[in-house]
Amino acid sequence: MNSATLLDITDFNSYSCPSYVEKLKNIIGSTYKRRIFQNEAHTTYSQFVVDYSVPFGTPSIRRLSSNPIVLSNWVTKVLELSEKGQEESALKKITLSTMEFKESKEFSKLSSDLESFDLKNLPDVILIALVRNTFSIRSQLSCWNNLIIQIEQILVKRNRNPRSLLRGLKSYS
Amino acid sequence: MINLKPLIPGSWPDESLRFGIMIQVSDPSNSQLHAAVLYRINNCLMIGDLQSHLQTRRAVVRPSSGLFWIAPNLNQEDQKILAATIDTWLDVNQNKIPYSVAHPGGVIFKDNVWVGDEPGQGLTCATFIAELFNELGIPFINIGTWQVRDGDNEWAKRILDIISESMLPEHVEAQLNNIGQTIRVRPTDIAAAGHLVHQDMVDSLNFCEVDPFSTCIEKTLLNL
Repeated sequence: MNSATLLDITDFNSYSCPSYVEKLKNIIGSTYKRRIFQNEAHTTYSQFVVDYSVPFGTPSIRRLSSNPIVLSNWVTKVLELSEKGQEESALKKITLSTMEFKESKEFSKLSSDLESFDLKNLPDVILIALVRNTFSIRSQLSCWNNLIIQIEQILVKRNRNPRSLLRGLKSYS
Repeated sequence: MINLKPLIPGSWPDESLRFGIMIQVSDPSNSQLHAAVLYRINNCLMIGDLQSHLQTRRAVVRPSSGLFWIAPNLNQEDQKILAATIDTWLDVNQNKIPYSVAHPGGVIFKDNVWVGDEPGQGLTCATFIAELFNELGIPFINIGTWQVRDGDNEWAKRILDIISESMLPEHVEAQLNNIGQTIRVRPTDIAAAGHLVHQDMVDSLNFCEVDPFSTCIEKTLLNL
């Protein structure tokens, strides 16, 4: 990659995480003139990590945000309830909060809130609830496709079957 | 063999049931059946349903030999999510949902909130449950494949006659105009689908898969 390309892809703050991932994939793909597949990507509180299969191996690109993400109240509440094992309350909080976002049509805010979850630390049922409760508005959430990929990967790592747990949400060939 | 269990102490759902389907003969004189949801929240077994026009119910369930339940073969995660969602729906949409024997189609729930306020729009006890599954993307029934059956139009006229006093005249008129042009999902269809669904099912059930079981449940409950 030349220096101009490097300059482009380091302009991280111009992009939300999904669009940054897409941009990066395109740049690497056009540099090597082949399709690049994303192996894994996830966002935690202040860190963004993405793995690709590229001709020179599988680099892991990490980027620490200079401004740690401030969690929304409902996200904090869901995390708190999950940590305390209050699963039903956490599920109801997700349903109620996503309903409110849907009513107010604040899809961009909901999308960034969903991205702020530290998915790896959430129980399976909470992960599945996040995608099921946003399924009907998935086309309006920029993070949704990436979210379901991340959740799928986490479930696989936990030896759960995403085809069964996420059925109806995406098609598997 | 369909395992319809009476909701009595001897066959009470155990703690593992988070979400189930309930069916009953609500009016024996008219052979009227009714479908509801059983769900467990805060360690209480609840009943949730659309009972009539602008009349929802969210209550702790009590034993009754006239209520029959089915435990759908759903994984614990889906059961818990369905339970939390129906409980929240019934809270947010309490007594807001119109009943309609002849819903003209199109959007009724949009993103969990009732939006079907046009005359004629509404749900039945059965479509209320079908919508719950749809909203969460959990395969259940494919209403697009449903067909009109003998007695559907007569049922619509009879029910409309019974409950029209509680409805605005334009809502009644719109339904009258739509009778014969809309399909009916029967309470027994919901019970049959509850019996047929399983946790690896990728596509929703079609009419031809559900109808034979639905007929069987209807005959059983009505002693035909």
